[in-house]
Amino acid sequence: MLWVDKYAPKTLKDLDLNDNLTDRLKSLAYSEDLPHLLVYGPSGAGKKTRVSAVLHALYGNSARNVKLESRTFAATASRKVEFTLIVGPHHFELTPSDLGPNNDRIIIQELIKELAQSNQVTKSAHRFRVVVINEADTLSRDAQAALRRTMEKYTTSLRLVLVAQSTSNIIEPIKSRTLQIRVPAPDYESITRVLNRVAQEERISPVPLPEELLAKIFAQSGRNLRRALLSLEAAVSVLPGDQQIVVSNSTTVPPADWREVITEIAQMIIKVQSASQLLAIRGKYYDLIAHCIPPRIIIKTLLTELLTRVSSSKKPSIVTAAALYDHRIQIGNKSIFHLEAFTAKVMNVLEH
Amino acid sequence: MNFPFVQEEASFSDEDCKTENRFGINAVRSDGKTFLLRKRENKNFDELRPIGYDLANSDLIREIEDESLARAIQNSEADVNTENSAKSEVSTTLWVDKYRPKKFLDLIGDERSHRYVMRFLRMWGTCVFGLPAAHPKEKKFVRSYKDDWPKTDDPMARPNRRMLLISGSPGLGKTTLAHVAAKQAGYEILEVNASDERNADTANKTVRHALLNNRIGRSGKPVCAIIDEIDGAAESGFIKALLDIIESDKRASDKSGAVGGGKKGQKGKADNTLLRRPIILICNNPYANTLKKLKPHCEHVQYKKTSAGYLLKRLQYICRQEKIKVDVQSLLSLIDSNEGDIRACLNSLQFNQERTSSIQKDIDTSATQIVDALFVKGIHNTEGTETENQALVRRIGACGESDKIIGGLFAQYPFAHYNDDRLNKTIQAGEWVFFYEILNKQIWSNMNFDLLPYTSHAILAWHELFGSITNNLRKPRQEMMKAVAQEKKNKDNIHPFFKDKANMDYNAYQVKQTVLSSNKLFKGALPLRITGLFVTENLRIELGSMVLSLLGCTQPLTAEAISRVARVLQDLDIKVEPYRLEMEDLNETLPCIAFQSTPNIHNFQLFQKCRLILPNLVAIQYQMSRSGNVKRGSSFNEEGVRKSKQRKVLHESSINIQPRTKNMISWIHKDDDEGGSEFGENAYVKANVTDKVWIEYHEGYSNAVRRLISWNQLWGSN
Repeated sequence: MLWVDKYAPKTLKDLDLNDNLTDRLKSLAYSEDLPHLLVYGPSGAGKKTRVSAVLHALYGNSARNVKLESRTFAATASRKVEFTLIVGPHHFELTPSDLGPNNDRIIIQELIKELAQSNQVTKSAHRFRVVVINEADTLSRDAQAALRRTMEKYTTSLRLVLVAQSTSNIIEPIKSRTLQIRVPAPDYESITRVLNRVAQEERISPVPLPEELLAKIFAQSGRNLRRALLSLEAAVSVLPGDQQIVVSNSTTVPPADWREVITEIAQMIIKVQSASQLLAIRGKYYDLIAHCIPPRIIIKTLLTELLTRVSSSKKPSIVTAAALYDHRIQIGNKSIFHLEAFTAKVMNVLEH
Repeated sequence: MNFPFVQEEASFSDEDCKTENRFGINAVRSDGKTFLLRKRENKNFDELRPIGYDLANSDLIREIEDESLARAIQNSEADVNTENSAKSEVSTTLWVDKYRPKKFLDLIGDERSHRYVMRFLRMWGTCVFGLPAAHPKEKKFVRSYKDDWPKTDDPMARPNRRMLLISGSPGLGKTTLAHVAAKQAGYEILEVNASDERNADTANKTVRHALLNNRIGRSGKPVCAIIDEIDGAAESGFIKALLDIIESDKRASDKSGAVGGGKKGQKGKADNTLLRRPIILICNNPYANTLKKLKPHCEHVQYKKTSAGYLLKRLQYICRQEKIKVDVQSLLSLIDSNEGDIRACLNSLQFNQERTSSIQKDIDTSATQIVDALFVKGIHNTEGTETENQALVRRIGACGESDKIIGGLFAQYPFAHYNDDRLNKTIQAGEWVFFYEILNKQIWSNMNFDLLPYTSHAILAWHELFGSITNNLRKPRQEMMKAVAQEKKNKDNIHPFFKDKANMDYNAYQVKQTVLSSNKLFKGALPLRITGLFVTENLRIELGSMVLSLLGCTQPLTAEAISRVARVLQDLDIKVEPYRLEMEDLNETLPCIAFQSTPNIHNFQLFQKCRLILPNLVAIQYQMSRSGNVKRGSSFNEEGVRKSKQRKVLHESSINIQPRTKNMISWIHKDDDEGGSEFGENAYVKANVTDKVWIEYHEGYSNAVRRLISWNQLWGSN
């Protein structure tokens, strides 16, 4: 089992970050009723973990008996859409990106109606069932609009839990119909605490882990607990030791490959500002994009890399440029153009 | 001297006069005397009647010629009679119809295909007309064409594949070819095209009855079915009906073959009837899904583009006939712009006729040409008061492939000559691209088509920014190619995207598709509990990176670490299979075994990073556990497998590894700097494997090449 899986808290009681939030969730889950939830927060903060803990609190261990189901819906008379979703005895879990573009509205309508119009047959503590929608901020406007009415109409038999990175792409009517729960990214102390606990269980010594190692992992994780755990596991897996694995300050944390490439790009930008350099960098951008590194993550990471390397007088204009081009990448679909334009802009700023 | 000139209406070459005896023309003078006009040596003879036209001696060609002569005489009479009335007709008939070839020899275009179609029909002649079998064996000049005949083992000498499929782009004359050839061969044509209702019923009623029942047409000729546009609106029932016809014919043929007779008129049961008439199918796209099942039963002719020369001659002839003057250049550009589509050429010729005597040159509208043109200033052909920019906008609009143009501009602008101050132009180009994207979004997602004309201006901006009089056409492209060549020279192991800079975008897209599919596999293998944790993008940047850093680890690994890594990989359900690859090593090709994982981890790797070879980590263990029932390839037996296996034992120190974690690992890792082929000579064993390791080595598929190899040969030395 991967550590992210093995040491993920299973119940509300096990949650060890954000105690305030956990208390609120507890009182929600153990009360008679549950409102629709909109759980949002950055990646790796523990949104999913919290949602599954809530489900566990609602339905007990049976919430964990999930299976993958593939279904087909007739989108139009002639066109059939096939998609997969995770089905548990009391809940459904779906991800818009698995549904395919332009299909999410139809699927959500069909699925929710189907679910809402049939009553709970298995014995459970609650009358309603839960639909978890991951990446709810990627739902199309149509799909979100389709949710509005159903959310109110079928409240007796259905609860929605939307999981999103930010609420900015969620339409207002939905926000007003849900209880919004923000899960903040864990800070250094929280991450260290979790890492130390895992290290103890995995017989890594010394515990607490050496400061510098923790700092390295933390820097790479970007306050993302999942990433931090994965890097710890990657760092430790290659170390010797049978019963006890010994780590030290000098233990290397393997850097993420794509991050290294972005660091290279940052260095190239700082070093030479010219059209030919731009061309060389273009190849690297293509490489990253082709390997499914999202352009927005590229620009964000690149920005942080650049900011550590430039004088403070240039920082504001670089940040402004990054914001501008990030926006453009999101609006348009030719991300390589905008990445190159951003690079040119940064070079332009640096030459001043 | 005054004599009636024997001319045929549809014969398009003045010299191409038909002969009775192949040496000249019998002409009748006004005084009633006949005399022979000797035929002049004709340079173009070969073009008109191809060398080795292997039907030349057959009865068929004689029939053709007889008929054509008869028709020619008839026509020449008709011409005189209707000279006046014909003129008024000109304006009402389409030239396409007026000049549609009426005889086999009038056809222009892909003559090989013409002959093939004719041969196909000729072969049916045995069955339909009772002609002697035409399959060539004896004719000496035919030998080179032997392969060109459809194959047959049929007692009735019908082609083995009973139907003929002609495919080719529109307007090349496929339908005309089929019609003319069938008519010439003496058939009455039964045409079914997309305008007819085509379901199983029609197929049964018309086609089936016509073909299976020895039907004779109204004209007393046997029927030949021409099914046009079969890739288009044909309903599946129709295809099914055709297949049924073939199937029933097959059954009937088998039967008659067994009896040994194969006589005409032999009747099977209702559901196995011999197919007695040829079927010709015509389509544009032979790869259409609807045709998948039919294709195995078809002889396939891919009809090629008519060469410009022939087409030019024909167009010139038509222009002469229609008394319009068009210069050769214009005609050529017309042919070029229509890409050899004869129908389109004729149509534009006819309907441009009123407007100008010379046709407007409106051809260089392909995206690449426009990209080339945009980098150049001051050379553009303008019309009337048009400025250079207006001309360019017009051309961009005419092209319509703005995405392609923008892509081309982006790929090539770094190689163009332009003056820039601190990359300001690149930044501005970025602004224009964004403008273009916003326009596009409005146009396509909000259906605001009024905005469409403005996209051309977003493209034109690049001309303002990067265009220069010092660029000439193609220069940026050539520069780009040069850079590519340079890059190739510098490095053997170059970045795959750089191999072809012009297509970098496309290459990247393709890579992305493979990566995406691996991602999907990868995700599918994860336990359901945690798939939700890794949404598509996290999967690569978090889990993918972790796996890669595990595999890319350069530290010496100990047994426990190895088993720990193996465990992680097993958790992720990455399967490993060996495959054979030919390794280039010092000019010698050595077979070698590499391991491939499913999902393929190579797909995750960034090209820029050092290329790691999937360690045969889990691989060996994985194979060991399965070695009892390994079957590589189904073509050889188990014994062969066993013999071709050579086991190698490696002794080193010994640490007991528990059975569960018995993952014998060695790393093969290659430094990128050292270059070489992907699974190159520099691969070396990374691990201090401290146990007996069993390596299975599959040396080829044949026992004949069995030989002993050393460890170093297998993995390369460090």
